[in-house]
Amino acid sequence: MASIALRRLGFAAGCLIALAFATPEVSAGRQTPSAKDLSAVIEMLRSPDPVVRVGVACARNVFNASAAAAIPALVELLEDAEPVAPEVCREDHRHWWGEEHAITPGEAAARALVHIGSASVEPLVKTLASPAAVARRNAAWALGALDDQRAVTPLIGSLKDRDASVRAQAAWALGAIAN
Amino acid sequence: MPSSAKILAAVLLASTFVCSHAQAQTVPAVPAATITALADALKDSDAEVRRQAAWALGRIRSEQSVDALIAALRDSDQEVRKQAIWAIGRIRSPKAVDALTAALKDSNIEVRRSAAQALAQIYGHGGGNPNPNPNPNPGTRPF
Repeated sequence: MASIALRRLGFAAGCLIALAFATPEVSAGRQTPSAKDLSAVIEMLRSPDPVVRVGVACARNVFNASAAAAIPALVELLEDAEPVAPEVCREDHRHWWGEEHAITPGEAAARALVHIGSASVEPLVKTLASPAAVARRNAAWALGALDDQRAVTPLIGSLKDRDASVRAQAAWALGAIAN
Repeated sequence: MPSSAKILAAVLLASTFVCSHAQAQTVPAVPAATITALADALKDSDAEVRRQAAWALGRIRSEQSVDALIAALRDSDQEVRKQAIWAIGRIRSPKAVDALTAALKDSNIEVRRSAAQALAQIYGHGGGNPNPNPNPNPGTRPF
């Protein structure tokens, strides 16, 4: 019971965070969250509550080319497979397909890294060698979504990964990069 | 919700139809190493890896991968066979006609249907594939 109440509280916090970053000031004029905002974001990415971690990683207008400072925290999150209800992620469109999959902080982080763009490619390539299979799979997905030629050779290497889900995601990514 | 899902599906279907025609003119250059590695992945021990590899080769649309895709028509997994047929249909390789004709006798109805569609594509009547991309990526995560 207590844990459910805590989840609810966490969800509310996630919504508040998302709202805080959806202020007209950020979305209209100023594209760059200030260094102070960004360090708050980075701190929340390391929150002990997975709902907060997903809620922050899903805040779309935070992660763009100017949020490169958040890359290390997002990369750390790639191996985080703790499932959270999909509603926590406001950008989640999966309900369109009638699917209600849980979302993990690792998946949300992978998407945030894609939104940051080109600066994420090298750290993601390094993650393909992570000891955690979940991190390698999320990195392979993000590299496919980033559609960057620098990822091709490393992804060919991942086709020989010891984990089948990583190999499948690498094959997908190579097809996604191929135009 | 179901009606909006239907509209989205219709829009996606229409756009893939248009895209498959637009892409028909240009075949992007993909490193030969990618094609070789993906052709190898068609022989992976895991069926999901083989499915994804077939999908990727269909996106790349290189004549170089046709032999490997023809071999995949004998895969034990019906989804792999379906995906390989989809890929061959996109490459429009006349070389695959015999193998596709054999696939018209597949034990699975969806495989047979895909084979008929791929043959139509190769003979130039196709494009209106009602199942243009049967492959959702493993996590089905939106871009």
